[in-house]
Amino acid sequence: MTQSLTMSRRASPSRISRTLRRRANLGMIYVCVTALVMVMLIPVGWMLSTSFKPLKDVFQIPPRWIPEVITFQNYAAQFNEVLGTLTLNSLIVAVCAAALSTFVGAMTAYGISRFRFRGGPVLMLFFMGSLAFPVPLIMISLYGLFVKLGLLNTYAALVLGHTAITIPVSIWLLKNFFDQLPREVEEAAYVDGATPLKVFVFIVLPMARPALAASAIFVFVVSWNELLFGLTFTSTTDMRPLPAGITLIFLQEFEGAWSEMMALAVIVSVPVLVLFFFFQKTFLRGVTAGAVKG
Amino acid sequence: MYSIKRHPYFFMSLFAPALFLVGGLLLYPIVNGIWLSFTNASPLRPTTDFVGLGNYVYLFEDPQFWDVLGNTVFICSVSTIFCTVLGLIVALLLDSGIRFVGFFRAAVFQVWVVPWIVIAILWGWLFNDEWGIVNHFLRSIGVVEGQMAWLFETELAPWVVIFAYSWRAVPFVMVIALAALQGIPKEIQEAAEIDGAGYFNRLRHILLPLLQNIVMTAALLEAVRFLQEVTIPLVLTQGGPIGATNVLSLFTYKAAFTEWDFGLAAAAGTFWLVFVIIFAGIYNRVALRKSA
Amino acid sequence: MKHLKTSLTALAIGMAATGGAQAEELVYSGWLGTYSYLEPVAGEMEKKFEEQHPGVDFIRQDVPFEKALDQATVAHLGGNASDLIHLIPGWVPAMEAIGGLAPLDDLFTEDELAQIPDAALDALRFDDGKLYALPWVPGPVMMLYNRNLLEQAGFDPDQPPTTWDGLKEMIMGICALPAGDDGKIYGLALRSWSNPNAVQWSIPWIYGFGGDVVDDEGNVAFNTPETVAAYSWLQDISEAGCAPDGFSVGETRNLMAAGKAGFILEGPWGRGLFNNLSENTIKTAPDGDIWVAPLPNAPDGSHRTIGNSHVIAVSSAAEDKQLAADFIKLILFDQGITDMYYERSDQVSTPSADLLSKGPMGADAFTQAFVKELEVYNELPIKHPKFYAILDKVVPEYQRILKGGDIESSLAAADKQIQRLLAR
Repeated sequence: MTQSLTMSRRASPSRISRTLRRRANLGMIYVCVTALVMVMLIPVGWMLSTSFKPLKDVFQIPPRWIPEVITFQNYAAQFNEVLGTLTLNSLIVAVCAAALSTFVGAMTAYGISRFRFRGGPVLMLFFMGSLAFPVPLIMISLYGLFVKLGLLNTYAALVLGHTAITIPVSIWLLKNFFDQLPREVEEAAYVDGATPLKVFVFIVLPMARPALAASAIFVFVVSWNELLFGLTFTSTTDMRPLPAGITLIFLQEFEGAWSEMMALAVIVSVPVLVLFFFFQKTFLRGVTAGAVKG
Repeated sequence: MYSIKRHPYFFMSLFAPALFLVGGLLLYPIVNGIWLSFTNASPLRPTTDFVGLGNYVYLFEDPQFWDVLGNTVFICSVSTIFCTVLGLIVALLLDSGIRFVGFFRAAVFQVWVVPWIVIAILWGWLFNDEWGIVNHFLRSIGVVEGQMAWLFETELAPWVVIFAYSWRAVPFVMVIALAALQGIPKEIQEAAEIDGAGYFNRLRHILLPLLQNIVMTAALLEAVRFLQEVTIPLVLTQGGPIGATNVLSLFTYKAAFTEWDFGLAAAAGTFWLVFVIIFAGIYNRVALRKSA
Repeated sequence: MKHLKTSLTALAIGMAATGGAQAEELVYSGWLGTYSYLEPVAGEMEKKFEEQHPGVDFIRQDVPFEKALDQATVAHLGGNASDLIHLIPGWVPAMEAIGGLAPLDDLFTEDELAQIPDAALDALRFDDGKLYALPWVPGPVMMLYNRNLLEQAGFDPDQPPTTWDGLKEMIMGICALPAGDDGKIYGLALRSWSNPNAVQWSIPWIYGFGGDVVDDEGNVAFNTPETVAAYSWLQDISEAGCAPDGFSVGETRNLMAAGKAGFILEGPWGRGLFNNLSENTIKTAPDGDIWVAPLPNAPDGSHRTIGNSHVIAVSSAAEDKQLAADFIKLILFDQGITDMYYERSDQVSTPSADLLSKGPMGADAFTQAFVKELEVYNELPIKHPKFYAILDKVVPEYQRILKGGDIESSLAAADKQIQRLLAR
């Protein structure tokens, strides 16, 4: 917009030179941006490139970006029962944590947003602050708690743990969103005789879909990434999530088979990258709405 | 809209699950953790006794602990500065009127979800001293000869961690800053441009002050996240060489779950908590401007 | 909703069914089944055991090797310990200290125990004089060396070094060979990454210089003249660039398998390992590419080494300990099983002197080289529940020394850290 405006007002020579300069600058900016983006993506590109090379080409000097020989062997070697189990575990835990954290977060956020009470702002501050709670410190007591409840080495331990460390963000995201929702619809429904619960479930939640999605994606990504709970709260392969499983099982066995390691890394990244690729816009809308306002 | 008096049950039912979850899984562990820091708690011991400040004394007498603190502050602060400055630069470039902003933003933002465990594996390969592409690049431009043992030199290994942290966090700062930039009314910028203010003048006097609070908050969030991060030190460097990448999160985790010394780990965790609170307080005063 | 109900009912019925037909269970947890080449062996063990004990259901819980100790600890503290626990010696004290293991002496006959070398049993015997684990796959550590590199450097590959000076000379000689197309050639594939195992792998040098990591009163001590001498020897190699920087066990093995290192310390698994890593291009044989030799003797002529073995233990929570012991007897003393394990894995698959002297293991020179070391190897250099935590305190100082730091002050600092740790 601004560009076309400047272009149309070409009156004085100084304007013209400014426009020219501007175009040259714009060209520079394209170069800079492209270069920066490429630098950012080099590690990922190198990971992809290596993952398709046979092991002996991996150590080639000088290194080649486009593999001489393309092999899918590195990927094929990864598809075994263990990786399948780990992936399934991670999926189950991440989906449950995303659902739990988002749903409970939505209830709390709605309460803080719609009820006027003195504790509200304090609660929000507490949630923000709790992001800085040292996770290992939390884990010590959680460990004892889970032992007592018999939850060690269950999905529940991981889901609860991941919910605990993500629910503050869910609440923040959703509260900001609810604050921006017009209340007229809710009030009208309420006056028509719907119970507050019905208003929340059938009117508010559907309207909040973008924010719910943003929260769910955030929790999913955190859960997919989380290492410490997975290492400590599970003790057998059939319960372990991906990061812990990879650390414990795969990294020891590779013995320097870098191309296979890169293939594994790609496989682990794919689910979150795909999810994120499709929902990025929704996610950004949800996140930036809160961030820019707050 | 609702009031507690008229809708007490609705109010309670909205808060009950969170009360249960947050109370049981965040608040209780923190309070209990602080209590444990004054005991000799360990799952290897049948009983737990009160030991007063014993754990803290032990911790503060340990020269390694002070090294760990130094490493933590260095790695976290440099990473925060890197990712904030870079994220801001990318955002400013993207907001300068070029096209395909959405595409560039999406390309960079994908980095934000690359799992940490993948970064740990990948960084080991990039910085491998014999075959790593980083060393190859440095050799090819003649900066170094032979090999640079990135992961075995105490001066270099922290930088490997810093690069990983910054790389992963740039997209977040970029997205937040970009959203903030796009929220600044165009008239403000145009008015300044017509007044003849050059780009850097506008940047300094208009854009940066408007962005300051948002970007500094994003930076604080990232700093806190770096403090928590443990995958890279645990998997890639294992805290070495000579403890150069041993950070507070790794130290605390290892004390708790490889040495099963809950009391000591709780003391380190409590110290960490107090440190963050004090830091955030100072940061709030110095880095954020009060809304006018 | 209806579907949910149906599936819940099905689930409930399913659980009731398994609950009804309850067989006696024996649960093993360990990493045997996590290696595909060992899975058939695990299957054979299960089959034979269930044949011998009708009505018993043997259940294998696969736990990966790395940090299996953490898992066993977590399981014990969480109250779901397995009956049989697969461990390595360094983990036994920690498990014993939390009361996780059952004493084994009464579960085995004297004849059975007499088949096992004393050195192996002594390491697993604790202050109360009782055995808390039995060696299963003994792994004494020896030197494996690249015969080709030795020859290229002008040494006789049939005459491996017998003194520390001789070893150093050969390492330096190999290290001086010109780099190949794929990089530098190292004399010694030493492990020095930031992991307690790095220090564990340095203990053979300490033994070799006549020292120990535990003094006469049983206190852990690294700052001794012998350790200083041993580490000074290693420092010379490292400072000359003849050992790689900060390599892990995996990386050093790669180096060796790529023919880029002269010497490496390994156990009986070394042959199979280098075979796999080199895709069968490296031959381990007296006249092949790699061969084995004992580490040089100490100045006083004594000879010791460490071991990196597998042991098997019975959980203190096991309901039927004799049943668990029966399984151990099967895997240690059944020649069918031990031979199969050996053929599949190329490892010394039993501590039984009797079985080791016959069958395919008795006929194999490589295996017999390791069998000779069984009388002098020490599985557990420090009998302490904090074994790895102790080594972890030495790691930074060990790395400092390899980078040229002052040895005595570094070791003094390590000792101080260890004392602080043990005072807790």
